[in-house]
Amino acid sequence: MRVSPPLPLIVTALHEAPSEMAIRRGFEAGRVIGGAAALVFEFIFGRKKKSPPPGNHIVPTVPKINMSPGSTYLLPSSKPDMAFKIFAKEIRNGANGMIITRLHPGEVKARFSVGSCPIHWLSRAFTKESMSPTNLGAMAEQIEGFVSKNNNPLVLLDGIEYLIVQNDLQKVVRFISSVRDSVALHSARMVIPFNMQSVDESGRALITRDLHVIKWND
Amino acid sequence: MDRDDSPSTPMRFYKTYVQGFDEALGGGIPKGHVMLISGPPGTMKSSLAYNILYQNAIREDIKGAYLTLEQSKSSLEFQLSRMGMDMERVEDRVQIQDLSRIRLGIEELRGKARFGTPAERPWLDVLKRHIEDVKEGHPFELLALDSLPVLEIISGLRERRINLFQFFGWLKGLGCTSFVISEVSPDPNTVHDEDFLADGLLYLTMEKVGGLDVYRRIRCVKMRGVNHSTGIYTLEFKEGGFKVSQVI
Repeated sequence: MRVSPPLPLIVTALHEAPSEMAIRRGFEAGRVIGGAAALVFEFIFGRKKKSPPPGNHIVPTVPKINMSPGSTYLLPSSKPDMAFKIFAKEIRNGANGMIITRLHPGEVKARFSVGSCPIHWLSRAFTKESMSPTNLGAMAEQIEGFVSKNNNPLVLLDGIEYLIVQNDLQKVVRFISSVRDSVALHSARMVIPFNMQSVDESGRALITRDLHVIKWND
Repeated sequence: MDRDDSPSTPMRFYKTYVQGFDEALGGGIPKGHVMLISGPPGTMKSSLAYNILYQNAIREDIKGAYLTLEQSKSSLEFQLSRMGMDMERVEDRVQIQDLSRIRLGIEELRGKARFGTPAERPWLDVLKRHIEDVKEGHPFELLALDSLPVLEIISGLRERRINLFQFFGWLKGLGCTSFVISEVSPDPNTVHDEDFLADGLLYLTMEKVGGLDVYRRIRCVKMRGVNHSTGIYTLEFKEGGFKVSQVI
């Protein structure tokens, strides 16, 4: 029969400073247990790739996409970075671009080589470059105006998740449908980064229905 | 500008110069129409009406007259200049007639029983005579009257529909295109006598969107003789001009 030590004794033991040897033994025991747990994890889930050393990040290569004129592409992604890289690459290849984004224009210019293309900031802030997220009609006409007046036009439409929050899904689906028509009508191209986890399955079905979904490893 | 009203000549249109809206109207407002610009307070009815006169003066050299029955000329000019309109630029073509002062004078005279009772005939007669006098000295093609409710109050119109019918008929007889500003309740289902009597009706509203934003909307409810869009558009005043965009 096991007898539990009296409570004051345990409290006293916890408050006593452990010896250096005890600490080392504790660490070693921890390493043994941790190592064993890692082996079990690897056995069940397979070997995990080693993370790169700090300051040596893996930069995902820009997926090769043959973007056809008149088409709208949806890039499933939790962040818009890859869409910006695709956009920048197309700009370098001679496309005339316009960006509508949740990122501040200053940040866009600092992080991506987008040249001098117009950047509209989806924000409720009262600035010259901001665009109201609830005035979807004006936004659609901005896109229509751009693709109808430029050669080889390319639009990056980022911030769909924000538009859904500010409006509602049905309105945003109607908006995407409207701008997709403008893109098709003027042989333009459009890239829409979108976090597929931000809506449920029916929402995903509505948004992706008429768009070319790019398959890549996020 | 020489114009022939015979049926064989094509209809003359006056543009509203609201970017994107003239296309929806099928080219603009037909000559000779009595147009109602209706809507609740804050929907920019007066600014829109003046802007039509202003833009037509600048771009087409067309003369206009803006008659204000309530807001004083200085207050109106302050409002319009804040919107970027330069009144001096069009002072020889667009006359602002401050009838609020005349109205006050008549009210004073009425107090002295100059016109006796009922007062509706004298006031309306004075107004009509004044507009005719203005037209003689300044042959305007576009006229804005701001506003119908004030006109009704000071005229004390008793048989509303008959009186409005006569007044609108007189406006048509002037041979100009007129814009009568009317304040209505925000309830879009309410129909007024003037809605039937006018040749055209532009209805302005304000709509709450997304829980936080409010947008002005404009809709051409009717326009006789024109195949116009009846759709609702967002109305904005940006960079010195009105523009419409589709509503999604």
